[in-house]
Amino acid sequence: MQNDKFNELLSKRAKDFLVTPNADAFENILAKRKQQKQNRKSIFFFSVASCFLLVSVIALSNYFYTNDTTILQDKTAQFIPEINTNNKQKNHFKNESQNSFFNKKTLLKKEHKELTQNIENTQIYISKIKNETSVVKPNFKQEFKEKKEFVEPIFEVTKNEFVLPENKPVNTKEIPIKQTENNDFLATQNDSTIKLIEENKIVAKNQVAAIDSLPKTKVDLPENSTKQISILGFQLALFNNYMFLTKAYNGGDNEAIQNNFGINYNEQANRSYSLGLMAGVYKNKFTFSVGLAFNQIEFDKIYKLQDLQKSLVSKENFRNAAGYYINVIDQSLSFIEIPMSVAYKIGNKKWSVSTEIGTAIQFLTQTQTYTLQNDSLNLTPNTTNEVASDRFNKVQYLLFSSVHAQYQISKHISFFAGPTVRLHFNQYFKNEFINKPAAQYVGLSSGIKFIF
Amino acid sequence: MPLILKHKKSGVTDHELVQRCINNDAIAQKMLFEQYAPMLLGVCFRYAKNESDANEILQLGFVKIFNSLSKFRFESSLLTWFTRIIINVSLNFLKANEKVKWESDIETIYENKDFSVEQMHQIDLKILMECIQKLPAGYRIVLNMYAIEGYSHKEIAEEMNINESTSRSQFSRAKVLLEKRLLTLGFDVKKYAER
Repeated sequence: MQNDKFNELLSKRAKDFLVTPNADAFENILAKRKQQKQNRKSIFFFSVASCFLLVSVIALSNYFYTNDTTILQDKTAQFIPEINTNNKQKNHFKNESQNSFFNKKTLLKKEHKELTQNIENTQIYISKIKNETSVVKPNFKQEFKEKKEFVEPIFEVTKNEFVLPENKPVNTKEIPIKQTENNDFLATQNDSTIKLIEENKIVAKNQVAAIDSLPKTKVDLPENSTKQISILGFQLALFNNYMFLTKAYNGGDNEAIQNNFGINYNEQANRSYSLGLMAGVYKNKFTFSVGLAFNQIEFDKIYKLQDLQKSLVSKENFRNAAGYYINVIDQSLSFIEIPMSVAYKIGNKKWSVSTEIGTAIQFLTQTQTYTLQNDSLNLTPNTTNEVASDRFNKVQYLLFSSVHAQYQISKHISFFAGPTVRLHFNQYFKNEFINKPAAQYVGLSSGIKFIF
Repeated sequence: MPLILKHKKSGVTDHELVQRCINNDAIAQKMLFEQYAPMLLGVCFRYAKNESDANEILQLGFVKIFNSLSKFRFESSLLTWFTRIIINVSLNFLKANEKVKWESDIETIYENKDFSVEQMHQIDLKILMECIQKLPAGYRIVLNMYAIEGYSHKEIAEEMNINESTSRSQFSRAKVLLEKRLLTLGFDVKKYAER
């Protein structure tokens, strides 16, 4: 046959070919679209989480690069004794050019005059900081809006069976009912899927299918099925947080030395580590958790030394800054933490994103701090509770929020990681002479979840 | 001028139906599906190698249709636009799921003179479609695009990233093979004419 004729005939005949699609074709299309939307949502939340992580990293980088600038030039320190450095000390010094030596006798002659000036400067300094400092309280009010794509008709169940409107008996043996991994019961009749969501409530997953097909359906649930239904899941999460202080926090005072003389210092929290376990129950996409964790705060004690006394400081240990020297000593506070949180999960089984918000209470259990001893800067650790009760708030209250990307490694184990933020309500130090803002941290949270 | 058709059962125009589908009205989506699915599944059957694949292509195609409906400007009929989408989905599906061999041969025009116009008229449509389905993927694609959809060999070559001569060769082979298979089935013109 000639090509043209063949094409014409074949085309004509082929276009008359009509085929009726499978009964469940339309429902499958809706399911595929829903899956696509969920995937798009996952991608969106991954993007948001990535942006949040990126911003956190930039903020942290910015914080570390500008950390030194949080220590202001302080003209109030007037006395510098000899410093015996030990392993616990780190020395950061600036402006090496001003590192000439003064005569000790000259210094002593000026003591009285300088002490008077010191008191005046301190008063000016305190009043200045009082005027400049303002506490910014975070706004904790959040609004949640729920969106539902379809209004799912709910049908009541009595005595292990349910009858939808327009009751018409159906041979129930022909309706396959199976239990899913999530302990849902799925029954399929015609092109509809029925899902038992609670002991006495059933949802027809597809609105169209429910309207068109389900009204004629009667389904007997398996015997004792209600006893097997578990609507709550249980999970354990082993987690750790590595946090960096983002909001400048300073404690500070004047320590007495050599009877009448004092030396100024600042104390500043830097990093926070947490390691703990959280147990939670989940229902649908929500998880409610409570846990126990060990938390340690690292904070530096920074002695501020004026250049006037630099003759007392060894050249090897100090470098000059713009009018002051600083000497940094590592200290730490240890807490037992009880966190509570609620999380919302979005995504498929393999990859998901969860947003979490929670609160925690911390109890101070141990301190490792250093104070001046006698007439020198011989630093001796103070780890007693007496010190803790004197200087630190024993209880901390905080709010935290995080976004986690979660990967399901196996049926019962998943790994999660993501950025997290912590806002403290109260200060570490009590009885401070100025009102300082509470600490705020940004960092990385990660861990493993065991899902049962 | 935009083509305004009314839905057979409900009296809803295509414009209204499309708008409701864009607004995620599941009932309208089902109406649209019921109206066009039989014709489009026929297209899927011609491109797919079996019924299961055809149904899968139809579902993928409708997902794409529902997602893209907001882009439809009513410059052509809905069926033409839907068919174009289904063909694209079919081609992508075949590329992903079947090994398409493009045998570029000398351009020999095979002709089976035993196969007549009458025979083509009388062939049972289902048998004809089954024979098309059983053709190798390359033959099937070119036969559908050239003989039924009306694409030129140049357009097919661009679409499938092959030479024009390859497309011609594939079509010739497909035509001969199809005619041969129909004859091999013991097709009896008179028998079908009496039906």
